[in-house]
Amino acid sequence: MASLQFHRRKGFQTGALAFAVWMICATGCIRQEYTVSDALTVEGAWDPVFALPLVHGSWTFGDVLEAMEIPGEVAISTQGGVTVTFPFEAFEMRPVEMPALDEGVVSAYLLSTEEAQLLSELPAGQNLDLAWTTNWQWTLPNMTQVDSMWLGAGLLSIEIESGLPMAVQITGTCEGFIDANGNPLTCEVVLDPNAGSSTAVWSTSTDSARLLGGGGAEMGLEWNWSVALVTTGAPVPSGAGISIELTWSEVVVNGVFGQFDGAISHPVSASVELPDLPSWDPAMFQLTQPRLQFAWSNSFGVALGFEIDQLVAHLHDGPVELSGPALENFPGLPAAYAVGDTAYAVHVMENSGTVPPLSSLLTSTPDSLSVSGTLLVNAGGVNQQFATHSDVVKCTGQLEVPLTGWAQGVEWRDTVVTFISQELQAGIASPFDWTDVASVTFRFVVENEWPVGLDGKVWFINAAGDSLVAGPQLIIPGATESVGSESTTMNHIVDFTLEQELALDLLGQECTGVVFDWTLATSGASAGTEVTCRAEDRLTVKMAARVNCEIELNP
Amino acid sequence: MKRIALFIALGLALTGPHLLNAQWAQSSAWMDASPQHLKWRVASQPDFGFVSLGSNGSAMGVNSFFHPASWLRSDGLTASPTLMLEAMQSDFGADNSLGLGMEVEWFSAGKFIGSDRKAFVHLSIAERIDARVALPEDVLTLPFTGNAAFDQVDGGRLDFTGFDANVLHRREWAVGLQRKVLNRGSVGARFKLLQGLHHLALTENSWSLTTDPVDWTWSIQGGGIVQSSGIQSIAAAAQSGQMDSLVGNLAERMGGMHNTGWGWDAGAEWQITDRFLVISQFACGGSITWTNDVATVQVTPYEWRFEGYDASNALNQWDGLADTLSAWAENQWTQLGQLNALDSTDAPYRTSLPNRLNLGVEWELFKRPKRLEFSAAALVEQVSGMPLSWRMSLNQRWFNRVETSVSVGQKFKQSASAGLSVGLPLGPVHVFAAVDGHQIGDWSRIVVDVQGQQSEWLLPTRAPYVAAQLGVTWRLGWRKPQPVSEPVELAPNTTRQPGFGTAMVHRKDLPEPIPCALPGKD
Repeated sequence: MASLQFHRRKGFQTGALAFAVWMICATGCIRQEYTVSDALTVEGAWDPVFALPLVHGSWTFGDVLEAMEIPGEVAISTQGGVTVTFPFEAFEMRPVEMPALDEGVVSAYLLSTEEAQLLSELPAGQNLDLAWTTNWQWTLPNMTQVDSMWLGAGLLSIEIESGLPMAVQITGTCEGFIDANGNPLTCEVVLDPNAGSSTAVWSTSTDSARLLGGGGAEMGLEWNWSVALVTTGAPVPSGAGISIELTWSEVVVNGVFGQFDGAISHPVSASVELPDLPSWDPAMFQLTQPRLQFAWSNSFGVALGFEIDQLVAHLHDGPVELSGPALENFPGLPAAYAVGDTAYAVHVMENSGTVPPLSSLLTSTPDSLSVSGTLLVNAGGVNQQFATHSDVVKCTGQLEVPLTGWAQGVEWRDTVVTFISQELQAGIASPFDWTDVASVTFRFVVENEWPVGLDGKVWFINAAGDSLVAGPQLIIPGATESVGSESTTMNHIVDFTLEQELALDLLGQECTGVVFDWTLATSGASAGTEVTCRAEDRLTVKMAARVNCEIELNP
Repeated sequence: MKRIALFIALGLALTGPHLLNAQWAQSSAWMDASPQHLKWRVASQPDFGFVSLGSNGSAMGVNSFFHPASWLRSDGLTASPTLMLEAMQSDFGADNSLGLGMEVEWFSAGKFIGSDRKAFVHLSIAERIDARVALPEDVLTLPFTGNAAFDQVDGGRLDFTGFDANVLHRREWAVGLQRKVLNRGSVGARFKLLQGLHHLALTENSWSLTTDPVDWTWSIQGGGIVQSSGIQSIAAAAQSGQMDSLVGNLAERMGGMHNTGWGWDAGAEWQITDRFLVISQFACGGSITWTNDVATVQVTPYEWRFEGYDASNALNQWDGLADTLSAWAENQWTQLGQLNALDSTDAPYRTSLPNRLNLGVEWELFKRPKRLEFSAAALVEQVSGMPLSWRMSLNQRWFNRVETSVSVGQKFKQSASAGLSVGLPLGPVHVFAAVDGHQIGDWSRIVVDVQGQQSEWLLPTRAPYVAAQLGVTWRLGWRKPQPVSEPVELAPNTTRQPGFGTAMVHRKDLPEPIPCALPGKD
């Protein structure tokens, strides 16, 4: 029995192993066989939808103005308002003249008979001293008070002639003639008994010489002469003496300080050309707030005034003279505070300050402006005035045109080169083909902050620029201004769907670009509503494509 | 037979290498007599000591989404099948992964300590490779939905966070000890010296692509971290055509101790009643510090927008969409560098092992010693980062020799599958085999005929998960069994001394009588 049990167990092991192998073989087998061929059929819809952004662009109003190459400058105010300016230079002048010094004076000391007799009796080698003063005065044009003068290039000559038979040493000092360090001018001349005369010369430019006036109407210099004589024992003739001649020789005056004559006036006449805008169509634009600005700069230490006699706009049809309060209330021009400084003044002629208004002239596209008038010196009449040789009065100006108003009927064409056919064909990779494409939808998304509405048509074109397929009509309203002058953005989405047949047609014709034909009009232009364009107002255009597929699988 | 032979040959060709390496089959957990069950129950003890040399291994394969044979239907009437698109899409779910795991024990041995057989010690050297690639559902369904089917694609957002790639190749030098405690319980632990060989992990991934439903612009958001060790040199060798040189240095590569760490497993079992056993085990604790051939590339979360060709600057030249994408990508890449969003480093890093927690119960249904023992058992397994797995089994031990276990369970939320384990003692050799995932038995042949040129594919029809384990061990202390005398059956109504059907045993080893300690007695 024991042997029987042992063999039973062994038999069970063999049976279990055989059962396991049988189970594996029975359960493990190739149960399906498929042959996938061209005849494969597909059950179920295979219609994926793919979307892809194609082109996008974003333009601020400022960007567009820069791209338009306007012959002017674009200025942006702190509030973001855009103003196109056309600058010009009117005139530049020096109403205060400074003529060169060309004066002279002679001062002589002549001996009387008694003095001659006395000197004749003196033995040789005796020393005698003499002293006297010379007041040298002259007048300056256009000045009622002279405080000081700056001298430029030129010469001061001092010629001394002695008729005395003795050695003469002459020392002259002028306290009102100082150099750059404030030292008064001193000259010393020694004459031998038989020399007769001698001349001393100073170059006024080398010492930056200044003359100190006495504050009167005339310029005056006081020279103090000191003469030392050494007798020779020779007789001195009666009437003999010492003669001194002071002469300015073409000395340039670099500056004068004091007070100028209030009666000085200077005529002004200038003509300014305005920019030529060939594409400007006044019928399409109405800019309502142009203005004319005059900017003055004055480096004279003299207040000035300006009186306009005539301001004329020269149109194609003839001149038009402007008048009105803007011309009458021309402000005075302040004096410069110190030498080297410049004082400024601006006068703006608003649109409403002229008759006729500037806006009406702008519509007539004037060629130029001419202005004539009188520049009045010392209009303020204050003291401590000055004028230097480098001072100038300059008048510039600009025609400022804020982009406020309305426009309509403005046409704008833009071409965006996009190889649509090429890209769409490349986007459909094998084994798929365009028969798997049910439709292609182009989406145009526009976000418009411009106060300008766009009414446009899209055209698909080929490389030659020929129109292939007409695209959608895009009507994008312009932004409107709300309280606080904040613009409201206008969003607009337009879908343009090409069904398979049309899409294939477009592909076959090699579409290489899209043309946008826009007609622009400001918001409410038809009702004459004014809008203001801001530089940061942005127009964003996005173009994307969506491909709806209906795929039929063909292995 | 020809068909069977073909199947076996193909099956071995496809799964043989895995089987030879064979440790993911949960069916083996309740095979108490087989040493292989120690992987699942470190606190348990096999029936015998053992030693093996390169003859134990396991393998696992996961394919949760690519089942082309199940996408076809043949009605038997037409020559070509029908491709069922819905069946194809339904295969693409939240988890779309391909995984492969292999483990081979180069050496293992175990022995009882002491004559009371209460303690058991075992050693092993094993090499293990885990590899997994997961694809996001949105990527797989993209050809069917496109990126602009906003009613099907969540808000136009294609979620790529499901993308994952993970490779972990390590060698384990393990020593384990089990000990019975308190007559009804046992505890065990296994400590491992870990030797990292190759590693690749996508440790962070937050990528997505959103198509704006209004203007159809694209927005790519995301960032991530990729860590690798030992991979760069392979890539460089492949790129420069020097793979032969790399293979020549394979022994050096595989023997280095550059990346090391420590690991551990621990478990406990308790026999609540004579029939009811509960087990628990925490496995794969520990970490590896990677220092060799290390690269960590990090992209800080960022967002890129693609709006097509930028026509804002009229000076830009439109060179076509592909060039626009290229230019855009180049520009974004430059920006990425300028933002310092792209960071690459070769600093060492540490990774934890994928922790596993097992809990199980076994209920003894029937026991006839030396004839049949029959039990039911259940086991749940939680691997970190993976869905819960479970398996229920019926276990048999025949004549106290052959073990079998049939089971059904679900691994990583794949479809349920049946499993079978067999432990077969053949003299001093013990053979063990286990397979989970009965779907591996169903195969399909697909012949693709393109204009007369045919290519043939032989694939499992739908086998989301298959695990196999194969082991051959040498039993220590095995003795050839001797025939046992049958007891003599005595006839009734006999005058002879009655027998009770049991052999009489003369007890010579009875303990000595204890002297009486009561007062008055000697």
